[in-house]
Amino acid sequence: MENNYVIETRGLTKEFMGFRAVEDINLKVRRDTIHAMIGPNGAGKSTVFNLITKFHQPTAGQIIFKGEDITRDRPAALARKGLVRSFQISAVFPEMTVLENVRMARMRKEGKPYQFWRSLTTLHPLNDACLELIDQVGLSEYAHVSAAALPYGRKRALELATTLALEPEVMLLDEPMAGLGSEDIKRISALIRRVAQGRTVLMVEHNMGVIADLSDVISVLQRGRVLVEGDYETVSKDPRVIEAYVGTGGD
Amino acid sequence: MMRIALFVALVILAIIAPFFVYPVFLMKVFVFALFASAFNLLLGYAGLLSFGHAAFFGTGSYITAHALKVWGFPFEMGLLAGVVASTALGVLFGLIAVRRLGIYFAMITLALAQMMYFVYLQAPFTGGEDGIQSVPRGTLLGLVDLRSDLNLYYVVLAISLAGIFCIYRIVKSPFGQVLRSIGQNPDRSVSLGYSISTYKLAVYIMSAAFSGLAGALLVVVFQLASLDEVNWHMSGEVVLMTLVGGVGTLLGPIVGAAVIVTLQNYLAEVGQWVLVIQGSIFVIIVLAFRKGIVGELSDPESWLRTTLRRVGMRSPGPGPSARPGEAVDLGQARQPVRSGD
Ligand SMILES: Nc1ncnc2c1ncn2[C@@H]1O[C@H](COP(=O)(O)OP(=O)(O)OP(=O)(O)O)[C@@H](O)[C@H]1O
Ligand SMILES: [Mg+2]
Repeated sequence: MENNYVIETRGLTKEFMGFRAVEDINLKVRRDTIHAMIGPNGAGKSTVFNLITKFHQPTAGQIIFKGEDITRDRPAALARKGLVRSFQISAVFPEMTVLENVRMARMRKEGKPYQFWRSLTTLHPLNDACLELIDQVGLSEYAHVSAAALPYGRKRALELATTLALEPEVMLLDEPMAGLGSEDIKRISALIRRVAQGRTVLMVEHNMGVIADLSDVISVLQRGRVLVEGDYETVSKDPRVIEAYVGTGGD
Repeated sequence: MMRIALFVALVILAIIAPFFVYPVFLMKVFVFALFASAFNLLLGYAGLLSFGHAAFFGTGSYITAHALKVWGFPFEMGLLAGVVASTALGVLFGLIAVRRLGIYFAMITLALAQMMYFVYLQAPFTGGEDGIQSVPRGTLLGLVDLRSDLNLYYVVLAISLAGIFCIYRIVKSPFGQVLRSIGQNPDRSVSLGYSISTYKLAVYIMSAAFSGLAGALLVVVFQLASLDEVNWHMSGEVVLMTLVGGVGTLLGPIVGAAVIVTLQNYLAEVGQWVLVIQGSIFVIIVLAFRKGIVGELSDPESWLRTTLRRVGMRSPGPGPSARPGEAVDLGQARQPVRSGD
């Protein structure tokens, strides 16, 4: 089939107790691009993420990943196939150190996690690769600090490093810049741009500067439907998009 | 490490203890320390609150009792039979329960355990209300006569410690690391590709196995298997021990078991008031030691600060003064009393 598209959804629909949060979404994410999803609060962006990563079961529709129907897959299996997500609210393992957090990703990839009879020293060979990633996101000095003690922006950076440790083919990032200061935004933007080389990124983001800067294609969602799709030029000039944002008082 | 040193000191203490303290009482402490450690493996690391662990403890007891008494198994095989049975039950219950979350997991484990209670109440081999009595202790490897309390003491000590050591190793393994991650943020574990149900099932079965071993040891100590071990009180007690001692710590469940078993022995003469006093102590501990005795004392400074602040905020008068470091005088607890009521 169209091998050009890494993720494709067909008629994707999700109802929560009669309420249609997402309706008939036909998304096509091209290989090795950064595809952004924007829209006012409650438009259904996170729900689309939850559906694609199978954290939620769609009410109707199909999800295709690299030509394979994954509509019935389990979320962990999907992650193992190379489709890895982050969460809108920062998701770290709070009582583990930064290094341990990243190593959680790495050790799964290296196939060690069932070893209940081995000591933790069997994981030490993974440390170097993890520390390198930690360095890339600017957390070197925090490597042995517990994740709970990090400021919010650093937690987001840690999350990204953990996701990268899986070397995923596709990354779904749900508002990676939310709650970050402008310095952090700059650094994380640059990082996303760099790691997006040879990868596909689907990203939800409210910060239009970041969107303009990073994305190749933008899908605008409103009330569970795709309103407009195109590059930044097209989308930002579309009267319906302006209307949608002004109309709901979103940013 | 401080904790390792403390652990070694405790082991040495345990070796000389039976010359000062009634060994049957101590064995009861060890058995419950193992049971609570097994329970803690589940709650303290994978974050699963089981409210039905009596089923595994009781199954270990009944099957071992039956194997020793009726089938005439030697000591080691008797224990093994109990462990195998509770492990098998763990597989069965785990498959049913492990996908439920939070309170539903607690409820379904409770329901399954109650089912086992009625099975054991009705089954002909368990002797109903009488239980299985005068279970022979046998010999260790055909060499050491276990009818002697002192001989049995060292065997029970060794087996309990070995069990606790295995649990420690599991916690400090790559697998244990996955359990911790699941306890701390299950969604993130899933998104990293961990099929968390599989890990939960695995740790549930391990916990059932060690709980069964504890139940089996209890039978050998008291030569009796009874409904007390499968009663829901028992499930509650192991939760209590773990919380009192400190959930998610190695020493916590051991300390918790020692505290609760000691209390029960001390308070045996006050009859029904045991529950009230035990409840009050639990309340004090919850207020003064939120992370359990071991959990708080591992960081005494912060414990003192928060406790003082909390006391200061509530009332300017003298607050509840739980004396954390106070050693319990085990020597007075001469009467071994079975748990439960
Ligand atoms: N688990 C759920 N149960 C019920 N309703 C839900 C659930 N998840 C989302 N919704 C509803 O679906 C709609 C879309 O929510 P979603 O979180 O996908 O929006 P979003 O576009 O990500 O918004 P935001 O920009 O605020 O993150 C909202 O009205 C929300 O209340
Ligand atoms: Mg959202």
